[in-house]
Amino acid sequence: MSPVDWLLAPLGYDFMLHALITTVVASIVCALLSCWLIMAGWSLLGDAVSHAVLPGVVLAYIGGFPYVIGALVFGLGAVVLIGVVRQRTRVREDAAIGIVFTTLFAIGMVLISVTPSQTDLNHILFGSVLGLGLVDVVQVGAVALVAAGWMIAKRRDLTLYVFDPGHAQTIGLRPGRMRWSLLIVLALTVVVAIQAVGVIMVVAMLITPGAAAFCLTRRFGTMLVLAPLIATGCALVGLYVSYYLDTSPGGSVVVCQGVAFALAAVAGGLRRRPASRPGAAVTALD
Amino acid sequence: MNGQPALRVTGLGVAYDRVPAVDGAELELAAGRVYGLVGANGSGKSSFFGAVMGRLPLASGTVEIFGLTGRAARARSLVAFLPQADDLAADLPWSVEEVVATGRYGRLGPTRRLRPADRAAVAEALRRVGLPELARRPIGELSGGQRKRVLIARAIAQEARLIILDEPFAGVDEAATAAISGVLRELGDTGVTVLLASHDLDGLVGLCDEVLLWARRVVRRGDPAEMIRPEALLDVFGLSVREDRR
Repeated sequence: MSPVDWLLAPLGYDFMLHALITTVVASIVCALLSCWLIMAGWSLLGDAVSHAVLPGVVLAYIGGFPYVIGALVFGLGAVVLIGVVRQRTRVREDAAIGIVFTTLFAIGMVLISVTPSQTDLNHILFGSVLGLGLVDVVQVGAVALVAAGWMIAKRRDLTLYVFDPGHAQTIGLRPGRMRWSLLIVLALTVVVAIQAVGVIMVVAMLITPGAAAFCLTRRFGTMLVLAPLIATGCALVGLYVSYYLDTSPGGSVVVCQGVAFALAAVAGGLRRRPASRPGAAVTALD
Repeated sequence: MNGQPALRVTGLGVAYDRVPAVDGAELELAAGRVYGLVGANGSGKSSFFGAVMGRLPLASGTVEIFGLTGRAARARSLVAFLPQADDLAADLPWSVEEVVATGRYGRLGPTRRLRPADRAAVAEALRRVGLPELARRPIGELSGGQRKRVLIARAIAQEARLIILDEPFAGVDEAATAAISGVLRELGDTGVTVLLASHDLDGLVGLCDEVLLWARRVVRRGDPAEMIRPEALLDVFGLSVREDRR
C-alpha cells in the first residue's frame, strides 16, 4: 500500500469521514478556547463544566430535546452552584468545584442507570465519533461555528479581560458580561467536544493544546494560531492511529495531544523563563 | 467637558463590614492640574481610588468625572487608573506595544481592530515615556519602573483626561522616579488632570500644583511646599507620616 493509499483508505468510509470532520472541528474550537482558559487559570473549571453537563445530556436523550440545551443548562448551572458553595460556605474554590462537578456527574450516572435501554453509557463518557451521522456532523459544525466565530470576533476583549480585568473595567468593558459570555462558550465547546472524545476526556482538549502552544511562544496572537494547528495535527494523527491500530479514537487523539505537549514542553523548556510574578487572575465565580 | 471639574466627589463613603475606610469625602479637582494625595498607610487612599474607579461599592455619596457618572466617563475612556501593583503576570504572552494598545480599545469598534492612527498613537505614547525601543519586548521582561512607564503610556494612548495613580513611585529607583515625574508633569502641562498618591513627599513639591492631605477624607489642601512642612504633617497626621518620610 502506497502512502497515498494509506492516507486515503479510511476516507472511503463515511463513518471515518464524519469522524475526521467532527474531531478536527471540535479540536480547533477547544484549542482556541484553551488559550484563554489556561491563561485565566480556569482549567479546573473546564474539567468541572465538562463533567457537569452529563445529566443534561442524559435528560436530553430521555426527553428527546436537543442535547445542546441540556448541556448548556447544566454546564452553566454548575458554575452558578460552584459560586454559591464558595460564597456561602467556608470551603475554597477548588473544593467547591470538586464537590459540585462530581455530584452532577454522579447524578448523570444515576440517570443513565435508570434508563439503560435508551442510552449507552460508554458513548457519552468516551464519545462515539465513529457512530456519527451527517446530521450530527452538521449539528456539531453549527455549534462550533457559533463558538469559534464569537471567540475570534471578540478575541481582543477576551484577552484583555483575562490578562488585565482591572483595565478592562476601567475602559468600560463589563467584566461580568465577559465572564458569562466565556462560560457560555465553554459550555458550547464542551457540547461540541463530547461528540468526539466524550465527557471524561473533554478537559484534555480544553487544556493541552493551549498549554503546548504557551510553551512554544511568548506572543498570545501566535498561541491562538499554534494551538489549533497542534490540535488539528493531533486529531488527524490520532484518528489514523485509531483506524490502523483499532484503538479508541478519542483516547488516541488525547494521547497524541499529550505527546505534543511533552515535545512542546521540552522545546519550550530550553528557553529562558521569566522570574515568577503572579498576576491578578480573573475569577469565574464571583 | 466644558469647564466641568475633572473630578467631583460629594459625601463619599466606603466601608468594610461597616468599618469606614473613606468617610464623607468632599473633593473637587480642576482640569489640567497635577494633584498629590498624601496620607498615612491605611488611611483609605486606595479605597478612595477604588470607589472613584467603580471597583468598590459606595456606602454613600456620588462621584462625577467631567460631569458624568463614573460608568459613563469610563465608557468614554476619560479616566485611566494605575494601581500600585499592576495585574499583569510576568509570563504574560503580551508585548509592550500590545499592552499600550489596549488603551485604545475604548475608542475602537466591537472587534477592537487597530487602525493606522491607533498604531501611531501607541508609538507616540511609548515615545513620550521614553520606551520606544522596548515596543516588541515581552512585558514580563521589564523592570518595575519600566512597567509603570508602560502603563502611563497606555493611559496616554487612551487619551484619558484624568489619570489616577496609586503610589507610582513605590519600588522604583531614582532614575525611573525622575522619568515618571517628568512624564506626569508634562501631562499636566498639556491639560490632563493627574491625581497621584505618594509617600515621596519631597518629590511631590516639584511635580504637583497642589497637595491634598488625606485621612479618610481630604482634611487640608494647598501649595505643595506648604502642605509637606513637618509642622503641617504633624498637625494633621501626628507621627505616622513623619515616620513614613524617613
